[in-house]
Amino acid sequence: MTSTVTVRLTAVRKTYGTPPAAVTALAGVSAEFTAGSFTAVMGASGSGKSTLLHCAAGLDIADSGTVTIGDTDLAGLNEHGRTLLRRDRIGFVFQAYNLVGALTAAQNVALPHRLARRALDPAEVTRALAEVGLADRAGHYPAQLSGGEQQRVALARALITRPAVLYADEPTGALDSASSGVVLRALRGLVDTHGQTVVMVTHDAVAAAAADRVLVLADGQIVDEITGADPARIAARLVRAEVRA
Amino acid sequence: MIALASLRQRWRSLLGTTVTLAIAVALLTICGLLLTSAGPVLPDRYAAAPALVRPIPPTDPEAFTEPRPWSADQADALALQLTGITGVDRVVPEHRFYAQLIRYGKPVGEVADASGWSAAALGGYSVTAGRIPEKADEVVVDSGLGIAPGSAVTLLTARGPETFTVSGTADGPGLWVGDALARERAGGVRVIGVLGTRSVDPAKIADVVGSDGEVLTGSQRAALEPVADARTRWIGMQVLLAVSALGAFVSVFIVASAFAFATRRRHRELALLRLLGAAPRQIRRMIHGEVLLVGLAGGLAGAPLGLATAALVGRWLVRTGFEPRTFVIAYQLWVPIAAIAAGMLVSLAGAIAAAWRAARVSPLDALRESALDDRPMSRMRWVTGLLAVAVAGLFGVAATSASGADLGTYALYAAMALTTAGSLLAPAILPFAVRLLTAPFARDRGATVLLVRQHTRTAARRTASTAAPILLSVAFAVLVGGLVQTSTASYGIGRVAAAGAAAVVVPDGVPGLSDAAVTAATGLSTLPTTVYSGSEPLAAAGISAAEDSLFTIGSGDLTAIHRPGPRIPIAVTNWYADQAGWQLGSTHPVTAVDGRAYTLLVAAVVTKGPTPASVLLDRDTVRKLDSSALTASVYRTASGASGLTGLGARELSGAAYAQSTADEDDRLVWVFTVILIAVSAGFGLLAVVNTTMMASAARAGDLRLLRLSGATRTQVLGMLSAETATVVVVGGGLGLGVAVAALAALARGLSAQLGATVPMVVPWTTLGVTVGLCLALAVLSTGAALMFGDRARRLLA
Repeated sequence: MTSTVTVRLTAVRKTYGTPPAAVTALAGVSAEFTAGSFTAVMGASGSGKSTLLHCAAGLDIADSGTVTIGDTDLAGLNEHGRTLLRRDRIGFVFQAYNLVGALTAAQNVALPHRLARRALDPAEVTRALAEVGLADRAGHYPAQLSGGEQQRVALARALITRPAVLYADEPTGALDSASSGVVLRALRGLVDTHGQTVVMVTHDAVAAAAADRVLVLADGQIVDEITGADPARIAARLVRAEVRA
Repeated sequence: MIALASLRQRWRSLLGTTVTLAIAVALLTICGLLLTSAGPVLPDRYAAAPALVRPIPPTDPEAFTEPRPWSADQADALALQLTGITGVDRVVPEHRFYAQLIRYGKPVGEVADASGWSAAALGGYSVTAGRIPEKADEVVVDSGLGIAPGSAVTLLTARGPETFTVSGTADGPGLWVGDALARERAGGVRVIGVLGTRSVDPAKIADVVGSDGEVLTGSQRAALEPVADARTRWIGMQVLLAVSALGAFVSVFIVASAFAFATRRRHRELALLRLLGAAPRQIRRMIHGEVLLVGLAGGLAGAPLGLATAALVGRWLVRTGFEPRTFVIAYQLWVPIAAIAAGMLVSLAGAIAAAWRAARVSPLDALRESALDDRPMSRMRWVTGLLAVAVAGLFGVAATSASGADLGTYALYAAMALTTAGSLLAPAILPFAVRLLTAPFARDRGATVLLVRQHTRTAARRTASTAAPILLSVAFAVLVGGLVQTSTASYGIGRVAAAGAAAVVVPDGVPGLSDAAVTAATGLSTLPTTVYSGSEPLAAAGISAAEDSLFTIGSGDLTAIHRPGPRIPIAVTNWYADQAGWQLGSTHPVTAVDGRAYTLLVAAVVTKGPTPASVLLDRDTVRKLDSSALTASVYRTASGASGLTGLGARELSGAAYAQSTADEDDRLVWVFTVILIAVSAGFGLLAVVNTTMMASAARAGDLRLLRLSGATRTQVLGMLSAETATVVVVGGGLGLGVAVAALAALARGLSAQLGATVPMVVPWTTLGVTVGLCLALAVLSTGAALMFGDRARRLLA
């Protein structure tokens, strides 16, 4: 696979609050996420992994360093530009409340297109839902779906917009292990079948094992990089990283 | 689409708002229909005359005074000229004067004037039995009264009771006397009827009349409706406009609080939409779309309701006297459509703030664990809240120096601004107020007080949304009640204090007191009339020497007015003298009610007195100028007037008179008050139920936690009730504050205007009833929401 870089972070720093109570969330992080790669970002609470995701998605602005998605430097965008970028180039799946409660599964999948006022073939929505195994749930409201099903609807939504990158924030955090497995397989499927770039923040070694590569964060820095490992090895390396830090 | 889907899911929580808007639109439809229907109606007595000529009316249509009349001679001359026009058969100057039929000591029927028999032709009436009146003591009456020709009847005229003989009966309502008598008694002429074939050219009549008057044909003739009817219609219109404005204001208020509340509850969903790429503008549009749909739904429900009930309300307005008896409703399609559009605008206006707030939700909040936003006071809220206080202050200051009707209007505006300010600043005030209120119980070891205090502090916004409609209800109920009582008190004081009266003789079933009644009543009184400077009316009053002492003389000699000469000596009030440039010794040409020209000579300037008239004349002079003038009331130094029987008069004690609603105007004002209180408090109570239920539903999670921590059901209910009661008391207190501030401004304004201290009257009963209703409704709807929540929980489990 030729490796075009989709998302690139260069020396990104982010500090919250003002001295002396300032907290450094990211202390100069550089990372590249190539097209079609599946990366897990791990780390203990407060390690900066959520901030990394926020900065990489343009939800938060880095104090210094650069973030580019494709050829776009996020620093050059205003709020409206970042909103459009989110709408057109970025997909999101997070722990819970991924869906608008008032809309059906199909309507939720079509939502980004609707916000962009782009025409959408209803068959495409059906196809996307079928791919995550929910073809028969199109007309259901989120309240009528299980947690795992809701997450898969969110994945179908990402599938249909073909974002440059899909950010997943603890997508299995609120699920039992069986549902987690289904969601992770669906996520993996996106990468393998459609070449979707995925960046997933998680603290679950089992979830991280579904990724191609694991970045371990501690105190706002990348302290380890693991590739092609199983959950047990990841967990072991993670503990080592924690101890070192 | 998202707006519609979102509404489908949340319709239950917006039901209260929709109902409010439906009622508001119904109200607007009713008011619109009544307002567009209220038009002048041609009196039957002129129905048979194709063209009517009247003098030029005064320029101010809200003066509600009759136009300057022609003298009998002028009218005759004009009539003679008009007779020359081709197609004209007869021209009839109408000589009309005050007369009322008295039977068994009481006035009978609605007819309160008599005219010469020739004027009966204008109404197309003819004699059905007997003959037309010829002698000076003969009268023709309505055949419907069942009085046989030849009977003796008593007519009450401005002089007093007079005995007439019925010469015949006619097929219409009215009293007709001989033309000679009518010409003598009536003085001036205000209508000249032109009878003839339909082909008379109005332009030719107008040519003859010239600038002396105006010609009315066809529907224009309705302009000759009685001045009293025009005035009644005008009052009715003020009521309807006030009710519409208040309804719209309260609806905006309720929509605003409901949508502000809903936006806070939907914070996470809004953040998600932002995260997925919805631009702030799209969020705003979505909220606007939602609120427009809610407005449309409310309108579609409300407009038919309004159409269905308008006739009922119209009849009621006629019964209470806000519309003349001739009032009928004309249904026009555009009225309900406009009302629906207004309803949608109102809801849009209410949601502006909520939409801005929704658009400012950060997309990051979708990723946060807990995205509860209960920041009590945003900077915007502080700014607008304080701005509203400033606006209220300006209106308050304006009220203290305003006069007449403006005074009440400014006080009302001040209260509206203060209500807005109060609800905006409530989150800042409430926690403090609640802590103060619950301070005596702070040492209580139970959980209730602790929870109530903590809750109002941490969820200030939510608590404030519950308190706001209570503030509104109480503020307006107390304000409107106090407004009327304070101003009534001031007028009552003005009337009685000035005369130092122990008792007052007032008209009973008649428009005013005749000379005979005034003589029998033995006391102080004035005889009001009108003089015309050009075609503009000027209020004047006749006084006798006995009344001179009631006036404070600025300059000149007041007694001089009782010594008539070729020029009529008068006294003028200083404010009118300043306004019109009259001064001691100056002379002024005027026309009196008899239509003749006179010259007034200013003999005195008075600075203070018990009458609203600008010009004072000798009482006997007024009687000569205006043969139909009637006295409004007679002030006595002791009670126990005798000999009033059959004179259309009765005696009231000074105290009873000061507070009396016997006066027709006072009665109308009282009904007006009740309507306004009902509308504002009714809307407010609706909002109380709405917000309380929304707030309780939003707290289901909290309450579940409380139950899990070992609170019994009773304890939870008790805690909620205590909390609700606290909020009601604080909201009511704020509302009282708003009302008292506005009332204080009003009282100061009235004091400045009257030059005497006017006490501020706070209607405690109204306050008690309103707060009690708020309390009952709030506690009940809290309980109801909880029960509903319980059931929902069981269903989910």
